[in-house]
This record gives sequence, C-alpha cells and structure tokens, in this order.
Amino acid sequence: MESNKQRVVITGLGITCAIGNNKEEVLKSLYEGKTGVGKITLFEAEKLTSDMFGEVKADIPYRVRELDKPSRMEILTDRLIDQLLEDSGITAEEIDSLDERAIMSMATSVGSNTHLIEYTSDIAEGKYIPQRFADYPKYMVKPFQDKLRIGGQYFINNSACSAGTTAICTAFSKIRSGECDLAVVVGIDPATEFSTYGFNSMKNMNKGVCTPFDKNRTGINLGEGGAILLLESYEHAKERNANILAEVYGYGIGNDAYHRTSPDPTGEGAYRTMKMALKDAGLEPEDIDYVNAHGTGTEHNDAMELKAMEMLFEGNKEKPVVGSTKDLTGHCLAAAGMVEAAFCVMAINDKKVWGNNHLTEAEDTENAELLNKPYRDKNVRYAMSNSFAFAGHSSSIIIGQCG
Amino acid sequence: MKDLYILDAGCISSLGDSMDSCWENIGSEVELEKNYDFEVNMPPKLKRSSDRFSKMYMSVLEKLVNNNKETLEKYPAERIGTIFSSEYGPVTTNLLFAREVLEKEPEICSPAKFSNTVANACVGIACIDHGYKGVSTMLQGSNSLSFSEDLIKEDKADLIFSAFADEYSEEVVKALHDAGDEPRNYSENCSIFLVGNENFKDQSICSIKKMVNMNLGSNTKENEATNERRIRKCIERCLSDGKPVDAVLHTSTDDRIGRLETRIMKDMFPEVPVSGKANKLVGDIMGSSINMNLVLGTMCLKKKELNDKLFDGVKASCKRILVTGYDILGNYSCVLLEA
Repeated sequence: MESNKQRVVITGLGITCAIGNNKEEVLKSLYEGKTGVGKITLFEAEKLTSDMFGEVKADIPYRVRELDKPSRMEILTDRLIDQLLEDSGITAEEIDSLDERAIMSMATSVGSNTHLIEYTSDIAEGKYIPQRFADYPKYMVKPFQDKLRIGGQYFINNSACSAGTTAICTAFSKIRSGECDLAVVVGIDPATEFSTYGFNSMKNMNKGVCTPFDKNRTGINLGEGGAILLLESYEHAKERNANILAEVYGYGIGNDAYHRTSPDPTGEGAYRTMKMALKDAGLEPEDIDYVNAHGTGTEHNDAMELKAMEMLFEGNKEKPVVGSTKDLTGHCLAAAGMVEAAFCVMAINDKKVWGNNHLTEAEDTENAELLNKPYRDKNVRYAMSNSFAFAGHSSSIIIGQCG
Repeated sequence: MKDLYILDAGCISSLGDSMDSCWENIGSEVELEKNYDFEVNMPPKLKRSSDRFSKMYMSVLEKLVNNNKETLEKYPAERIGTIFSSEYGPVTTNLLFAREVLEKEPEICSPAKFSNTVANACVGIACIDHGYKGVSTMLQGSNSLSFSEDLIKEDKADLIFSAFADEYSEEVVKALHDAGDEPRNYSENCSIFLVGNENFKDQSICSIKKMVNMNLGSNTKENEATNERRIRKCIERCLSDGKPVDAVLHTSTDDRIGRLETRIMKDMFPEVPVSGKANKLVGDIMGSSINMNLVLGTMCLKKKELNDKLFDGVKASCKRILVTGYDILGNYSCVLLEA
C-alpha cells in the first residue's frame, strides 16, 4: 500500500432492526438486553420448523403488489437514508457536488428478490408485469441515484452473510486509496419467505431465541432490517466539521474453500481473515478489546469461530470480550455485518460492550471472555466485527476510536 | 498508482469457449446460439449440484487454471483470490426456488436451489474445487475488476481471478422486451481475468493503466445532460496522461445511453478506430458486455494488432486501447489497457 493512504472515518449512522428503528431505540434495547426475536407476524409460519423471527417493528407492509408503490426493501432503504442525512449533517447537494468522488456500497442477499417473488406470484395469478422482473436490480440503486445523487461507482455485495462487512471493506479501500472522498455504505435485507424457506430447508432454525456460544445451542433465528454508515476520508470529514464517530482501520476477507454452506470446522479460514484484518490495520491481537462475533447460534459456526479466536488471541495478557448480538436482532443475513458494525461504533462511543444475553452455559474458552449479560463497561479502543457466509466467504473489519 | 497486470483471460460466449476461438469466430458466419453446449470437468458431487450459471464459471476457470498452472503453483492458496460478479446472477435457479416458495410447502424447497439464491455458490464451488482460499466475494453488477485492483494494490493477494458472468434466460429477455426495452440480440457470457501486481509485469499480456468509474444515474431523457457530462468526464480522466490511444472498444447498445455514447465517441475520437460492434457480433450479454470487450481488447494487445472484423477492416498495430461500458446499476466504466 502506498504511503499516501487516506484515513477513513465514520461520520453518520442509521439503523433499523428488530430492537429499534433508530440509533436511540437500538441503544436502549442493547442496554436492556431486550430481544426483538418473537413469533413471526408477517407471513404464515405454521409449516416452518420455527416461527421465531427478528422482525422490524414498524408499520411497513410485508408485500406490496403495486409496482408504483415502494416495497418493504425500498421503504427500509428510504428510512435509513433519512437517518443518515440527519445523523451525519451532510446534504444531498453536498454529495451531488462531489460527483464521482462519492460512491455507494450496498449489501443485500434477498433485497431484489422481493420483486422476484411478486413477479412469480403475479404470473401464478395470471398477471404479467414484466418491469418487475426486467428491472429488479435497478430498484435497489434508485434511491441512491435520486435522493442522494451519488455520482461515483455503485457496488452491491451479494456474498450472503458476509456481504455487510465486505460492503464496508470495499468502501474503505476506495476512500483509503484516494479514489473517492465519501461512501454511503448500506446493508439491508427485508423479511422474505424466500430466505426463510431457504434456511428452513437447511434444518438449522431455532425454535426459541437463539443462544450463540451456548453449549446447548440449537440454531439460528432469522432477522431483518439494516444499517447505513457514512464513511469519509479524515480530511473531508474535518473540512466539513463532521462529528467523527469512529475510524475504520483495516479488514480481511477470504474463503474457506471447504463446503458450500458449512464453514471449515478447524477455524483456519476465519483465523486467516482476522489475521489479515489485524495486519491491514497495523495492530496486534492484544489491541482488540471487543469482538462482535458472527455467532449465529448454530453448532458449526460458533464452534469454528471460537476455535479461530482461541488461536488468534492466544498469549494475550487481557482477553477481549466476545459477544454475539444475534439473540437480540436475529440473523439479518447480508445486512448482519452492517448492523453489527453499527453496534461496534456504539460500543466505541458509549464505552460499553454488548452480547450473548441469552447465554446460560458458555462454551469453554481460554483466550476470550464470552459476555453473558446485556452489557458491561469497557473502553473499546478497537473492535473487530466478524461475518462468515455460505460459499466459504469470510470477512473481518476493525473499527476503533479515531486516533 | 501502481499498475494492475492481466496475465491471462478466458471466456465463453456464443462465439467460442476460449479467447482464441472467440477471436477467430468474431465477424464470421457463426450463428449466435443462446444455449450453447460447453464442457466442464468438475468432481461429480459438485457438478451434480451446480446450475448452468455456476458451470459457465467453472468451465472458463478450469481452462485458465490449466493454462497458468506453473504460475499458480508458485503461490500459496491463501494468496489467490476469487472476485466474481453478475448482473442477474443464477436467475434460472432463483426463479425455480421462488416458484417452490409460492407452493407454501417449505418441505418441498430444495436447499440446493436456495444456496444459489445468494448468487455466490459458484464462487464457493470454484474455491472448493481448486482450493483457493484468498480474498473472495460476489458482486452484483460488473465491477469485480475495480475491487480486485484495490485488493492487489493493498497486497491482500498476489493473484486474483476477476470474473463476470450472466446466463441467458428466456424469461428475463422476454420481460426486458415486454417492459419496453429496445430489441436486442441477447446472449450470455462468462469472462475471467487472471490479474496480478507488478511482479507479473514480464509475463503479462497487458497492464490496466487506469480504471475510472462513475454512476450515470437514471437512464432518462431528462438526465441526458448529466449522462453526457459524466461519460465525457470519465473518458477524460481515464486518458489524463495525455497519450493517444490506438483504438476504442465500447458497448454501443441500442438504447438511449448506447446512442449517446456512440455520438460522444465519434466526437472525442475522430481519428481513432472505434468499435461498438462486439455487442452485435457476440450478442448483448448484459453485465458481461464490458468484460467481453475487455477480453477482445486484451486479445488485440496479445496479437499486437486490431481485429479487422471488429474495426471495419482496420488491421493496425496497437499498444493502448480504451474500453468502456456500463451496467444495470448505472455504473459507467472506462478501462485503459496498455501492452
């Protein structure tokens, strides 16, 4: 990497998920350890192995049959954009004036599938609305073209459950290299039967609230929602007197090359990715105070992730606190990495760490402290957020106090 | 900025299943086939659970790996990356799964079809089959080369397979036509580039001297002035070193932006051979259009001369080629290739 690399800071945050529809509501739920996972109301769950889901509690229709009305995905996007504009203090005009020096990086797995589902439903009912199918990738970027007027490159990351974290990585690289000054990074996945039936077919849904890192864990809860972050070069943020929430230091991405849906049980893939993130950030394992783990509550993921962390933090004088927040939000799929990066920013700002509130019998660990209460005080200098996915994708990012 | 180097490229299209066969067949009387056959050698277990979309990737990748075995074997699996992209992804499988979901009988939904919904099963299959454990992700659109450039320059990988594919779907094409899209001859394609850093300069076909990307915004008449300003700016920034190019390859689709781009090209490059023919000769391949052009540009630089079928009879020597294109997300890309 060239020596003239730019520092990258976070200057705006918006969030909507099962535990709140903005930063304040989410923070309150984190302090209370209040789960947003409950019985699904959006669609029939009778024939599913579990009816537990982390729904967004807001008056947003599950399905929108009319083409000229925004879908659940588009309403969530719009609300996140409004939050970002308010939190960051930036305007669409300022973004527009940056032209190609403002970019967009999005993560979604099933965001565009909402239109695919409506298209196939229409056909089954004898209706045919070709635009729904022909243009479905376009619906996702339209709000960023029309409302924020972002003129630089658009990325959409589809790497499933690692997409949210990787979307931040992509934006970080573009700003760090000096290619742009600003990036709107967003991860959104709405509740769909598409993803729920998919996970159901893989027989890993929890019948209650999931218990990541518990010895008796029995699977995941799905969730929905998303988060949005404004990333800027440090110079650009200073120039416009932005409120700097945190700094992004580095990241790692990789592939397990093991199985289409299961992680490498040795944890070596996750370990390599975390090591890459540390190297990129110029940090040592001892510098990490908090890990927001991928921690899905499945047998395989959590065992693999713990093994990787045991390797990574071996020899640390002080153990990092490890927490999964998926028992509160459910697994928001491609948006998970974004939601959890937002939790890391909140942890850094509030000097607290969150996670594993539903843990009763923790897995044995030597080199990491598994939190088992809503939060505890901790000065988080650097937080690591992990995401692992189908197809062996892995992604780790390090966010810290602005140095 | 340091350059990025293209060591090799592979492709599969209606014209052939390699760079050489596409080069030979371009402009010939070969009839464009939409659902052409191709060979793929994969372990039976992986093959059984792969759809056509994944098999396209696997077929091109396998040849590229075999052609570059010696180089690839010198590097650890952790330093070889796979950054893939697609506009519509495994659309046939997605439709099948969506229709299973409509039955409201979760038990009939096949996990094999679901794992393709994330469009990335093909990356996993590629990594499992070849053992590559380096940087890896799946993007929607056509900009995997742009992210690959960052990863190479940040020293996160020595070599990356930067790949693009879109499969032909009768249902997508019908929907595109019925939605008012101007008639095009749609086809399908997979293009993969093996890229590396300056250590591979001597064994490379060409370098990517510069890559500039902008989003054009909505493709409407009202937005045409912005579209034009951004296309011109993108080209000017890509050629900011002031040196002339020997040729330009652009996508030239029969739509508003395609016609606008054609006009801009005539205006900006009056003395340079400019070709927008690939789309017509290979078929419109959606997100892969720019990448097929990049394959053809790379091939021209490998042969050290322009393909006269592409450039209306011009068979001049070439060292620098500008390649442009845009994708469904509105990204307009300019890539400057130099031998």
